[in-house]
Amino acid sequence: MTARDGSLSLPGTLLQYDGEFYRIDTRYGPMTLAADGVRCSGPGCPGPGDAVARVAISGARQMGLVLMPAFIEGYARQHGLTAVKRIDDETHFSYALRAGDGTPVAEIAIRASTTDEGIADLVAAEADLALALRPVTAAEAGMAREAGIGELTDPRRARIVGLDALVAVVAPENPVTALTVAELSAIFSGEIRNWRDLGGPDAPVIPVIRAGGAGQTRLLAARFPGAGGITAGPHLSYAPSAPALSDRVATDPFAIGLVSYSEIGNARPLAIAGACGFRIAPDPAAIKAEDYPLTERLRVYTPARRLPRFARQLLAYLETEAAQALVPATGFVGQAVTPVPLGRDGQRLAKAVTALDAETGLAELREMLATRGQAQRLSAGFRFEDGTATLDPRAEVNVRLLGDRIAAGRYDGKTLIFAGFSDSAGGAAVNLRLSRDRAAAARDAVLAAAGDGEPSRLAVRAVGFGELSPIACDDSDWGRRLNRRVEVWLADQR
Amino acid sequence: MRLSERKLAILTGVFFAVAMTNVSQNGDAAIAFLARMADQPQFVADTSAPQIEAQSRDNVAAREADGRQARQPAVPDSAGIRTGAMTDPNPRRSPTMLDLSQIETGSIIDSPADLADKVDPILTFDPEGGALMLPRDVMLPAATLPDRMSGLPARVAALQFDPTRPISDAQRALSPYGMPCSISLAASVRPGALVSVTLDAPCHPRSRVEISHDGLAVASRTNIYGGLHVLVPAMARQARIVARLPSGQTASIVTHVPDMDRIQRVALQWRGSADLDLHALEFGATGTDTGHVWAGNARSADHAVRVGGGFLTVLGDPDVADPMMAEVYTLPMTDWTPAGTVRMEVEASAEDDDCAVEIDAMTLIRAPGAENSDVGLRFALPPCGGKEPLVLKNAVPDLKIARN
Repeated sequence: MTARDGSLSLPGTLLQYDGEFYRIDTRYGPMTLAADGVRCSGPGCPGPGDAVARVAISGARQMGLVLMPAFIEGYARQHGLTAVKRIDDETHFSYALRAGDGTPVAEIAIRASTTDEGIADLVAAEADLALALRPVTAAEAGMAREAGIGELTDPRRARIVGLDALVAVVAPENPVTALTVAELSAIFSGEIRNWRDLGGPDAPVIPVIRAGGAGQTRLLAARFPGAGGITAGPHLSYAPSAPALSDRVATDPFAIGLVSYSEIGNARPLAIAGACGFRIAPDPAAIKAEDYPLTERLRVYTPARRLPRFARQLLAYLETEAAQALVPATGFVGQAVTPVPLGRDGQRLAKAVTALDAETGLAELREMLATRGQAQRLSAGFRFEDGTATLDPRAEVNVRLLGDRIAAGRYDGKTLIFAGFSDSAGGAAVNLRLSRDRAAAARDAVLAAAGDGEPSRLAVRAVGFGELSPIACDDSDWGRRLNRRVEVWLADQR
Repeated sequence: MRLSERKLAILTGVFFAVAMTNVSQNGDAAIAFLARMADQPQFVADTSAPQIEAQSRDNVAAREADGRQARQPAVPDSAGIRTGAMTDPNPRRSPTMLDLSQIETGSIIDSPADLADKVDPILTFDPEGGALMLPRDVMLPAATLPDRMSGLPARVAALQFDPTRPISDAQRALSPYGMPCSISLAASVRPGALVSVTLDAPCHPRSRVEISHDGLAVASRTNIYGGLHVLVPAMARQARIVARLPSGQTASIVTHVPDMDRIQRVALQWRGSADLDLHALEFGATGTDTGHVWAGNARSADHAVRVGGGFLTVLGDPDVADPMMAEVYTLPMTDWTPAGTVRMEVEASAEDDDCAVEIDAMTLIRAPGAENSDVGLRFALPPCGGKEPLVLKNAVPDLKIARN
């Protein structure tokens, strides 16, 4: 490589050329050079038609097998490219994308294994994108730092491309419909061994877990500290894969399993019950709003180096509404903003009424119901770092999606109401103020993301209702976390 | 050849022999009779259509190309006839040879496959064989543009042509069974978003036919009469179906399929003679369960209507040259379609002659409210000597029916 003005010369082996940048392995390590600034000479230099982007993707099995193909095929459709999928074996396949005139555009190799493997491949520079069902661990982030691919815990390194949840499943004919976290934990640690103890028939409980399903145990432990977890033992049955697990549970009325939402298959999902009587079922609306406590985000990790232009365009596409609309068909939950019918919120409204006590006034409740009754709740919700009005990372995605929709004029002539809620810890007055602050913070963030739109096109309000309408029991950390939220309601302008 | 086909062919041959014998005795009546049999109107001189070539396959192709006519009678080429009327005022006396002994032995229909490839719009049999022959030299010299445009004399001559006098068979495009050589396509919509397609190409018996429709493309074969009936799973609401013959002739038809937004459809299509099977395991079905839908348990749209569940349609003929096969799974969506997953698998078995061969396939997915997905698919058949079929679980995405 020689700089155009001849001031610098850099020998090395060409790793990749995407038509815009050279990536070469030099004696200083891999480097990326802008093609218009340097001249390439030597036998390894690309010809004019060699700008085929090569992208290697590795990580969580179901994301690799189902989600990424849907995204890649959707991207190809949107850009008028033809896609050919080449299957090498159960876990390795690739896509060749070509332009309408047959010119190759990109080769995407996918390895569908596990989140652990994906991050390892990313660290080892064997993958450009890692697919993860969980955030990186501290150990993984440390290895990534050492390998020079950047700080993976930085939110900019992780794109949230969809949502998933850990779900307890039983056979469709099993009469049990909901379990508490404590009960789930007791089943998988072998303390509860008969369905009779769970309100079911007098029959043995057969807990089934996926061989090597370490991520599930970790998620359970992280969300419900102290709830125990999966204890290995003879009471457990093992299934070789997630589809095999749900198939096994679907046909065995005494079995219970833990699977990803996308892998429920033909089994029936159980709701998570709280001690105070709340039930939250893992349906797309509850997962989208992260009301379901075992919701997990689907992340695509990127290294801190310049990716081929094609890979950057693909990444940008993943977060668009068009791409998110493809997610439901893959079994995962998309982040597209959709209205939630009032009827679905019947339980939370009923709870708001029954939970009413002397301290929180009837007037506020009436005001909340009057506002809510004329509006649709949008699936995009906001959650906050504990005790603050700081948005959490997933809320940032919703900020962007809502901002894009406002900028596109989707809510013109409507009123967007940001409704803040708090948990019941602390005094009612403090909670009311905190909920108002959170609503205002969410509103400001969304309006900032919408840019300099004509503000009169839509009306925006931020209101706080304090602890008025809990959606989960306040007797646990996870319940309180769910209750600290801002909902977005959409009403017609009066 | 099946016995019944053979019998009919011989009978038709004898019919021709009788009819042709009559030509020498009472030519006009016989030909008029033949013309009626062939579903042709009495010839009417067409002075407007500027068709100036002699009747030829290309000419037929050109007329058929738009494919709109369902049963348009083969209108004889007017210019050719006109010229004939001028040069040979008595076309009935065109040489017509006949060899009854050959016909009665049925030798002419022993090789339908040969016929398939060289059937000419003009009824002709091999001169070397000495069989029934309406010689090509009957074909009248092509009118050239100057002839056509030379003005009044030719036009007057054309008018003087006796429109009540039928033309000879020689100018007419007829199949071995006396049917006009047009090709036509008819379609009707059936339950399950299926289109019942009937191709009528009498001059293309036992011919390879490519049926294509919105990305779906398969190769079938006409029967000995040049007919073909297929149930084509619709891939679009406005379903345009095209049939293409080896001669390049095409016919197409468009039909509206209202059921399209009430089905989920997954098609696997491939080129070559490989033995691929698309399996749909409906809502937890395994093994020999009735919900395991594949070529060995294909079920039907009728079954889907009465009982529920999906069905498989197998398209294409593996024995034609350059086979193009497809298997299409359809799941009609009704109020009683359960929530859950239909697992899709592709099973590939390798014979000795195609082990380790690279398969060139494609998947086409149609679902209500979703964009069409047409994606190429490549994989290698199992290695030679292996007995286990290859089962691909990630070639075609599972169908996930959402809970409401």
